[in-house]
Amino acid sequence: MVNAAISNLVIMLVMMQVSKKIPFEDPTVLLLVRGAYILSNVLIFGLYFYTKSLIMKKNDLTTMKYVEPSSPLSGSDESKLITTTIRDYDLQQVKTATKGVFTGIAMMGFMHLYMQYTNPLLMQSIMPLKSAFEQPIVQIHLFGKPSSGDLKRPFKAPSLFNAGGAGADAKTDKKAVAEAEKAGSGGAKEE
Amino acid sequence: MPVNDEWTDIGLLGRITTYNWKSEIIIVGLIAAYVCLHYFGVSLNQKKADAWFASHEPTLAKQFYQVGVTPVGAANQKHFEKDSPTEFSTYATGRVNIANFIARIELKGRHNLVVLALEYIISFFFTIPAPVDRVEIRINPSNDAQVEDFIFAVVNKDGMNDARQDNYYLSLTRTSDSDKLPINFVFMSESAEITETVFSRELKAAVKGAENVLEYLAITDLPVDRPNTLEGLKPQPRIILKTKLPTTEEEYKVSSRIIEAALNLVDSLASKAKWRPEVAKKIMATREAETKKIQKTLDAAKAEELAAKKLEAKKEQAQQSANLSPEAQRKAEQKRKEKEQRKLKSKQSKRM
Repeated sequence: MVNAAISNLVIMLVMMQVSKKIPFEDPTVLLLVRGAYILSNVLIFGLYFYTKSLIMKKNDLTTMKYVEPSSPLSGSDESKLITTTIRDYDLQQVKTATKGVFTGIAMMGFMHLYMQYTNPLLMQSIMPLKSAFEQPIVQIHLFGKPSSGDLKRPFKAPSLFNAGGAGADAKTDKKAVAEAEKAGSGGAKEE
Repeated sequence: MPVNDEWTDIGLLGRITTYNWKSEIIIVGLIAAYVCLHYFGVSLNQKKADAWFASHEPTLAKQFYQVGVTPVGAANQKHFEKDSPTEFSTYATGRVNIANFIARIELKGRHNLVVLALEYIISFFFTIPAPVDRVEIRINPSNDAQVEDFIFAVVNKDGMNDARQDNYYLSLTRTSDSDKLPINFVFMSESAEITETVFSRELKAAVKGAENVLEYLAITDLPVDRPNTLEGLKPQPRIILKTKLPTTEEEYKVSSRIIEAALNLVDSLASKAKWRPEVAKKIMATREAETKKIQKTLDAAKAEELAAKKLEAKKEQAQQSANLSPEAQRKAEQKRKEKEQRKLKSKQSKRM
């Protein structure tokens, strides 16, 4: 498969040219574009719901452990161990993706309804749909791809600049897990 | 409403009958509905708590002399203490090896539907768990039982990460799958040998088919909250049992079975759980490491306090000398400098 970032860029450039040609002032065109956007989001939700039902049906309760790297945003500098099952991990991924769609819709709603931009509507009917199909979770469950290589759990965080790799990926090696497992980090009272 | 002659002419009764009360009726109706829903929710929770008690009473009565919050023989037997519209607790005591049994039932906030709905919505968008009806049981073994210090738990895979995060003692254990357990559960234990000894046949039978009820069953000597003081780390053996509130007859049977197994477990722990030296050493090592960690943070806090005090003293001195006359100030300054130099010299000579 072609690198997702590159294909995104190509689509973006092409769509920018295309959207210049489209007369957004025409009410019928506007209606069509809005319809396309709504349809696209319905498709995305349907896709995620279907994936979720596939995960529930498979019900893979294999235990998986990994050490989540500390994130500077959350304020904690301690990396922590996540003990979960394949099913719960996958469901979590679907939930995160669904939340992302909600965020996108909220942003689009603001841009289109409040700021009266129409151009992004077209772009936003294609890109999220494409990235939804590219989600590892959808690839594994819908297309039946094996969970190895790029699709190995825990999934790598997608980044634009994956050359450097700031070491923000989850660790799964035995040593790191064993170390974090008995660290006694639970039950911390929040102040 | 403009006050005009027409309205004043028809008198009070006339005004009441003519006025359009529609919006007031709607408002009062909504308030009444809300109040009714509140009472309905409160009684629903009460019923759920009653059902839990009624269904578990035979099991508890078989094991304990006193079941319920009133002493045996009291005129008005009371099963529960109602702590709030969502919290009920009950108590049992009077059994060999067990000091007491405390069950706390925590229900959804059915008395406030608006808040409950909000909780559901928030739980979707944030990492806050959705409200659930659950029961938390704590069994405190008596001192005579002499239960050893160790941590062992059977944990439902559903929510096991939260369990590890919420409970200090669980985050000191290793999680492992086992073919002795149903696929839905894991062991969290300090050592495989502990698991071998503690996981009785009765427990195994009780856990079977309990995936919709049992969240975890743990035996621990360490607390739920991470301690900040050395006293907090003092071992205090206890059994903690967390279940969802059963909803069907079958689930109630499972719940009773687990509670009974947990109670009987204390007897077997009291009589036989003595570890091999290697295992005992491992258990000790974990506690010593934790003690050191706490000591370290305590020391750091102390050092910080000391530094703050020193700074304060220095500031005070500066303030004092500022109040003196210029002559006296110069003298004090010189004295201080000399003192520092002497200190430096003695340090240097020490190094040599």
